[in-house]
This record gives sequence, structure tokens and C-alpha cells, in this order.
Amino acid sequence: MLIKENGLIIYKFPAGKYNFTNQEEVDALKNVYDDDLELVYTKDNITIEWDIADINWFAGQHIEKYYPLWKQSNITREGGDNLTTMNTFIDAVRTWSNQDPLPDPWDGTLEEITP
Amino acid sequence: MGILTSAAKNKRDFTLQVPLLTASNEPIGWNNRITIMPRYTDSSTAHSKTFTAAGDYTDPSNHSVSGSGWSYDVKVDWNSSGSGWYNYTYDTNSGRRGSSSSPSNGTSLFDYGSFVSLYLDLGIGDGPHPGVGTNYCHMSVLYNQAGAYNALQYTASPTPNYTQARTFPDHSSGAQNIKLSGQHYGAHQYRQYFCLADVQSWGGAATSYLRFINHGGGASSKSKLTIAGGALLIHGMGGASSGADN
Repeated sequence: MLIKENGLIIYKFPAGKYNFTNQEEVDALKNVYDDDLELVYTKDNITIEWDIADINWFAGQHIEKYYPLWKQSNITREGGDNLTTMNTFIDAVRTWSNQDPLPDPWDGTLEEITP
Repeated sequence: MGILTSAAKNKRDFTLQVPLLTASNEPIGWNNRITIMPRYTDSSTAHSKTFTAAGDYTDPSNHSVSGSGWSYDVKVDWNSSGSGWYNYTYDTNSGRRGSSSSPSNGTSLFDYGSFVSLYLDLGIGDGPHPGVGTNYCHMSVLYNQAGAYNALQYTASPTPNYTQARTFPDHSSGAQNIKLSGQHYGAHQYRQYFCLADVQSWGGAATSYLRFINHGGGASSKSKLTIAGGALLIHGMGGASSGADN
């Protein structure tokens, strides 16, 4: 994840090691206050760029939220309807993560995918 | 007999040691070293390099990638302001300096001013005992400031002046290009703490990282910069307040 100001990287985080957790926290970087805490300027040059490693991390987190690895193993071993449901869910998440251009992991579309 | 402050109380020096972290939020240490590669292997270019353009601030391909990039953000985990600024107390007990009618942001930590030091355990190039100046690099340290017009430039307007790099701890042309020499023996066997900066008036606030830039000077065996430990020190002084518990 890159956060840029005027195209210059001002923050870089490896996948899953973010100090910002949502768009609102990044948007706060746009506000410039004077010493009296008066808003004097709002930047329009703050941008976020995601990398495929970020997207895969979010996708993996979302899958394991519903199906931790131990649960995936059990369902795979047992088969049946639960396996079909899990496969459908995981395939949907993978479709989300394989979009071109890359999806926005903070826009809520990933959370809309449920088993 | 102790030294008394102007408040006629015993002066007590103390220091808050702020840990420095890797880009992955892990403590920097002997087994978790950061290596910053030289940007220029041409000595004369590195010798005169200062900040003039956006491209001077970040390795475009390998920023914060140890062993590959010429720029790296060392995270300052906590206490990232040079002065007492944000928090006020309205209470007077247990060393708190405010009152219900007169809130205060004063603390013993800032009774020296904004006295900070940057101590680092550094390696430069490869090899033991190469002689002073044999292994060297030209480098700079920047700090970010959230809430400013520009995070890495101190230009007080929305349009950054890229010559105005927010160098740590003070803004000067000298701080844009610091020559360091040293050694790096094996798995960083020869170690010491080195003071890169020591000032009483750091103006920084809302800082979350120190950006190390290795302008270079020679091949990586001569000019790569290894950081094997470090801390930002905030120097405080007890006894300067006339309050009962300060």
C-alpha cells in the first residue's frame, strides 16, 4: 500500500502491516490546520495505490474470517453441501481479487461476499 | 549535594528512549538489520547531491525494501513530537501542572526545550578496520509531519519546494548531505552507538517515521548503509517546575 502526496510516496506499508485501516483515516491527511486548529487548507493530492500483495492479503483475511484453515481442512475432508458452499465463496473472493484494475479493499465490495 | 534548578529543587535528568521499527513494525536490531543501498556509485555525484526534485525523495522501485532500495522509512513507534503540544491537563496532583481554570501542556520531558537525539548502531560498506574514510556514504535523514502542507518538505504552502527537504532534526543544506564513514565486519560484529543528531530545539511534530536516504558514494561494498539498532531519545529534566511533585 502506497499513500502518495503530489505523486511522492509519503507512506509505504507491506501487505497487512498498515497503520491506516480505512479511507477516513487517510482522508484526515488532507486537512491542514493552523496553530489555532483552524482548517486552512484541504489537500486534493493525496492518493492511495494498492499492490496485488495487498489485495491478496485482504482476500485471504476475508476467506479465513469465515473459513479458518482448520475448518477448510475439515470441510474438504467431509465433502457435501458445505464443501460446495465454501468453494463458491472462495471462488467469489478470488474473482474479486483478480479484477483488473485491482479492486479497492476499503469500498465494502469484499465484505458483501459472504458464504 | 545535587544541582538545583531555578525552582530550587534537585535537577534530575532523564531520557525517554523511543524505539525505531522496520517497515514491518518490528524492532530494528542485530538480527533485524536494515540495509540501504547507495543511490549513486559515482563519488562526485553523491558528494554534491542535495534535494532538488520529487525523485530525490524516494527510490521509485524499492522504497523501504532492505537490501535493494536507496530510501527507507524507519518508523518512530511513539512519542513523535519534539514538544508538549497536544494534551492538556486540568489537574494539579501527582506532577500534573494544570488547574481547573488554567490547563497546562507542560511536562518534565520538555523542560529542556525540545531536546532530542538520534542514536544509531550503523555499519557502512563491508569489512573490518578499513581506515577512516575508506568506506563511506553520503546520506540524509528526513522526517514526515502529518498535518503540514507537505509531509516531507517544510514549504508553507500547498505547492512543495523540493529543495526544502524536511531534514532531521534541523533544516539545513548540510543536513541534506551528511558524509559518514565506518565499517561493517561480518554479521555486524563490531558495534557501537553513534550519535547522528543531538539538538535542543527539534521543531518536529506528528512524525511517524524517519526517512533514510543513501545518496551513495561508491559501490555497495563501500557505501551501503546498515542500521542495526537505534533510538530516538527525548531528553527531560525533573525539578524545573515549582509544582509540589514536579
